[in-house]
Amino acid sequence: MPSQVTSYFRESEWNIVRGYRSELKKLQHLPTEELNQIAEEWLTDSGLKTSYHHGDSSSLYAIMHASRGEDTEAMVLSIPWKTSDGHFNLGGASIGMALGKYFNRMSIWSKNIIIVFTEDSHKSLRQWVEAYHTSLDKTAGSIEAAIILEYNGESDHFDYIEMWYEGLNGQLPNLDFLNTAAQIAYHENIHVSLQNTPGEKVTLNTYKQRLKVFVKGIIGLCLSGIVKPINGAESFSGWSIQAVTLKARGIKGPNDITQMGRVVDSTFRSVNNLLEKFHQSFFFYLLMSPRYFVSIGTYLPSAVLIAVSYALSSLSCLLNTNVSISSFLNSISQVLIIFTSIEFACFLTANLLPFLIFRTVTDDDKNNLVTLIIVGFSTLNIVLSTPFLWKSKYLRISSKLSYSLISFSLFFISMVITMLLILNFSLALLIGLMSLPLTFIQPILKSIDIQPSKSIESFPLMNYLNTMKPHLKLFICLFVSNPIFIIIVTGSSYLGDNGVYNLMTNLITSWNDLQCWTWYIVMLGWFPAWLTISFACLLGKFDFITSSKKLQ
Amino acid sequence: MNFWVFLSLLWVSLAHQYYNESLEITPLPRNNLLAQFEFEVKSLPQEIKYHENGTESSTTHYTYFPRSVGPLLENSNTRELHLRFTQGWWDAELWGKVPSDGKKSGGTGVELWAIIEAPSSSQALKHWYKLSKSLSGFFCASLNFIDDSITTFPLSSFAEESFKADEANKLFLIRAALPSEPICTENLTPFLKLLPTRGKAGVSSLLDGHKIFDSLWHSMSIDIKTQCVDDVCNYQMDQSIYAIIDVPRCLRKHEEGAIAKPIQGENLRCDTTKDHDIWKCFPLGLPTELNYDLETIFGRPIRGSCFTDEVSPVKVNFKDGWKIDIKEGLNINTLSSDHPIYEIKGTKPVNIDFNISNTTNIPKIEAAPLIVSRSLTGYSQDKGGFRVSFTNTQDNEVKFIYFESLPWFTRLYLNTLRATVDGKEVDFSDYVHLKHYLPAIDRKRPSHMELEVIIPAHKTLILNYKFDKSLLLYAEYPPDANHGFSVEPAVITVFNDSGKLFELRTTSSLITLPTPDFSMPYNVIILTGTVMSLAFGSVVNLLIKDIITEEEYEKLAAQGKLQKLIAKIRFRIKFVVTTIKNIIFNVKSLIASLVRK
Repeated sequence: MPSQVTSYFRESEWNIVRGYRSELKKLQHLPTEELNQIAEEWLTDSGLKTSYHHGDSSSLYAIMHASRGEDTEAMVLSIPWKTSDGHFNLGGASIGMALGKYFNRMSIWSKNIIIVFTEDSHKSLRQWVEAYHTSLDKTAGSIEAAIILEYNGESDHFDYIEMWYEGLNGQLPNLDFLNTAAQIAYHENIHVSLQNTPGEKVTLNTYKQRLKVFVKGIIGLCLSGIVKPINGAESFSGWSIQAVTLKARGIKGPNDITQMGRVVDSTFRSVNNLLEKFHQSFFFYLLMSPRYFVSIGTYLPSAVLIAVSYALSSLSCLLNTNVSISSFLNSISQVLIIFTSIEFACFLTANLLPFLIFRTVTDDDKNNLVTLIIVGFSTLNIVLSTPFLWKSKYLRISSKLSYSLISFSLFFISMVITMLLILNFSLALLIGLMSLPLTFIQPILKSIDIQPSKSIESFPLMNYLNTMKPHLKLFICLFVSNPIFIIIVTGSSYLGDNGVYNLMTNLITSWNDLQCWTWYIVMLGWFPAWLTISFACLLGKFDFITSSKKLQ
Repeated sequence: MNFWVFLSLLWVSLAHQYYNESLEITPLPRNNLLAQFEFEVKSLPQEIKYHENGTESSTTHYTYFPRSVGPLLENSNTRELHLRFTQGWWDAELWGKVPSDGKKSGGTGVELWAIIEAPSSSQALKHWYKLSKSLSGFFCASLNFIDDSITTFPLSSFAEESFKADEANKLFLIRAALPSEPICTENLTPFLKLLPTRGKAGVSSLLDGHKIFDSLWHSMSIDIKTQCVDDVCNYQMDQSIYAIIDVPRCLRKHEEGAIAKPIQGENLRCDTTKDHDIWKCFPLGLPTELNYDLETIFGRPIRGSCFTDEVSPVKVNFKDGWKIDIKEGLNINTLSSDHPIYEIKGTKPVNIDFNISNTTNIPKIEAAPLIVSRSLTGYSQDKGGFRVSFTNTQDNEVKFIYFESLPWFTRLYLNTLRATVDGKEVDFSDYVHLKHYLPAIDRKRPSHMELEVIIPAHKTLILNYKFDKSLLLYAEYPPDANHGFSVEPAVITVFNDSGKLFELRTTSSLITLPTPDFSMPYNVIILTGTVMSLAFGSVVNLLIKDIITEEEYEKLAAQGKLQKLIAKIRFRIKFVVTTIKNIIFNVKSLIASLVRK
């Protein structure tokens, strides 16, 4: 059982941690290569086998081969030289060094231990993980679990641990692994904070607090890999490795630095005792606090319902308008051609933009390019959200075809959500919610097409909406359901300084850096549907002018 | 050669015709010790014949040779037997070559190969299973799990034939390995039982399971060969145990117990050139001054010489930095200046003190000429790959056979074989020659690959190849299916023109197969069971019953046989009653008329 054995990373080990720390403090301004060299010397002195991986930056890793071990399984302690906040990981590196020495004294290990020192926990760690499974010569068996350790500054004490666990593409580490770490921290009297919960609220167990962590968890899972700070747990995603990032927070708390080491030690000893890999169904959960979670059976229906709602509104698009089934069937090839060409254009754009970004040399160029992309998308959004201003007299399609297009797009979104349900619940849910206004397009168009009804609805909101001009309604519905709008809103409100720029850059580059597919889901799943609907509004034979006159 | 000290430590050599034993202790870097126990037993000369099934061997006397093994060899017509129990990762960079050029230690787990005399391969396999099942019981190892699916007939890797078979028969080299078998005391005890001293005296008395199995790496091996002069043969059995012992860990365990508690503050060894005070301590490297004795390392002293009437010479070499004291019970017989020889005499326990002022003063490590590592690539559950890297550390080219047998559920694709030398992809036929390949048959045969590889001096060759993982049948999964499936270590046999130079093995690998969630079938069974019974009930009701309204029911009910019967009876009763009533009425009226009259 986790935390039932006493970890002896205490007493004089503290002196050793401090010893390493005072040396590292002098070296902290050295470039990564030199740091690695010195660290290599120290680790070799402790009896570990060191090697390098040279990717974009060089990473050092030290293997402790378990005595008499089968050499088939390993656990990873990853220590980025630079923490996700951009500071030098002084405490973390000292703990890592001391743990390397401490682990080597014990003969209880049945799995190897790998300590990885990377420049940061973003691209360089991801590259190391990939190289471990493809090109490294010195390996130590399949990695079962990984802990990424961050401890800023040189304080001996800290307040609480922040736990980050989101993987890429909606993947999560096994809940048992997180529970183990949380349980061990609990027994060490350390509070565990999820989703950036500030220190004073860590101990709160109120409905509001749990809801906050829950919602932030969904958003976080959706944004993982595309917002900074990258916490490191993402880097192990996709290789069936359970990974968690532990960050020490605060400098004045009751916990000392060796306790952080004890959490790592005890967690590794728990994993070490496992005969089997982490398996079964504990991969689907949403945490509300370190000890409470929502299981898949409870949360999945919500996204299913959203998918169903899209399917229904897609049907309603056909049934509530004067599109007969036969005319729909007649126009299906047209619909498919239009939709496929839009999809293809999106595909080209989706591939072109990362390509362009990676071709930029200077940061200034990159900055300008990303700004240009944001401006471009926003302009497109504004133009296409106001179809009534740009009515062409020549290029027009029948309203039946437009309804078929809208119907098809809604059905497409429904399918995208259904497909993502299990793979990436958060993304499915959020795309579903964000593009929900698209389901109102058809009733709005219909209200333009036919006489605007003045009947009083039972819903006050609907009542209000009915009195609004359909133009405005159409504009709002199209405008807010565009991905770029969401990116700008999220970036500026949720992510702080320079959020929009960073979010856009990371979104576009995350596939190449981290194999995070959110960009492609957005560009091939959500955006084409939006484009198709707005084109349908633009080109469809809806009599905007007469209807607005009628209103006046 | 003053800067290094050679210490081939304890050297018990018995000039005995049928039994010899020896122990050699070699100091290694990082305060490790390599202990090599060697035992040689010879059987009495005898005639060895081919035994058909069921025939018993005639030999009854084996002297020093174990009585339990002799008949087994004869009954299964085994002419050579090689059994390996190995555990741990051999650190070739630190420890150099595997002892005895790797010819006496196997890969992780248990390895068994034998040369069996038989007229046909099917007969040879029969003998083979007989042999492996008997050895399984004997050594408490899972050797009984050896079956067709892991048995191979190696061609060039293990070939060493010294026996001449009957003209009617052939010799078959058969091999199998069990990579996930843990090696434990239960394997050591029968091993010691084979010795004439039974581990009670001589150097074998040092072999305590607690200590041997607390080493960094250990290997037990048994090699039995049949040596013949004309028609008279005898069995020669070499038993050896090698172990790498971490001395500081042993000492710590001796003093503080098994748990690695923090070092006491006053015992901390700090680097005084760096920041250090009562709070801070930058740890120093390993201590170079060590004092210990044999009893601390092995848990026991040597309990006298192997046989009381024999004299056991003990050979000790030591120079600067290493001081060796014989604590008790040992008579120093001869002490030559170059190779001093001690002899263990009598039955008194013998302990030896080691006082070392500089543990880094060690004999030069014989570097491994080839460093090999094999790792799994890929991540998916349906396919994977191997990446084997060979580094030639020598000044001349190295030629070797790479033997690999993969279990049938990994379907190897030879066309995916790619070779890289020093980071550049090369045509692999320049370096690798496929000597033998036998594809696997599901559940019946493992794949068997032998590659002849030549690597130029100081080059690194990397071989990549891919395989598919297949689904097993439900019942084929072991109870710990999610642990993964072990792939046995590959065997590398280095040759030169004169013959076999040395052997080494890669580590075993753990493959994750697509594993079903075994609790799921039960959930599904329960769920479908419920749904089925519900559906069945309603369908049956629908099929055999009719739905009608109450009125219809009453109407229909009136037509029923019972109702008819009741109606009939009612009618009869009514008839009778009316008849009686009529009669009474008639009688009444008759009486009345009579009265009136």
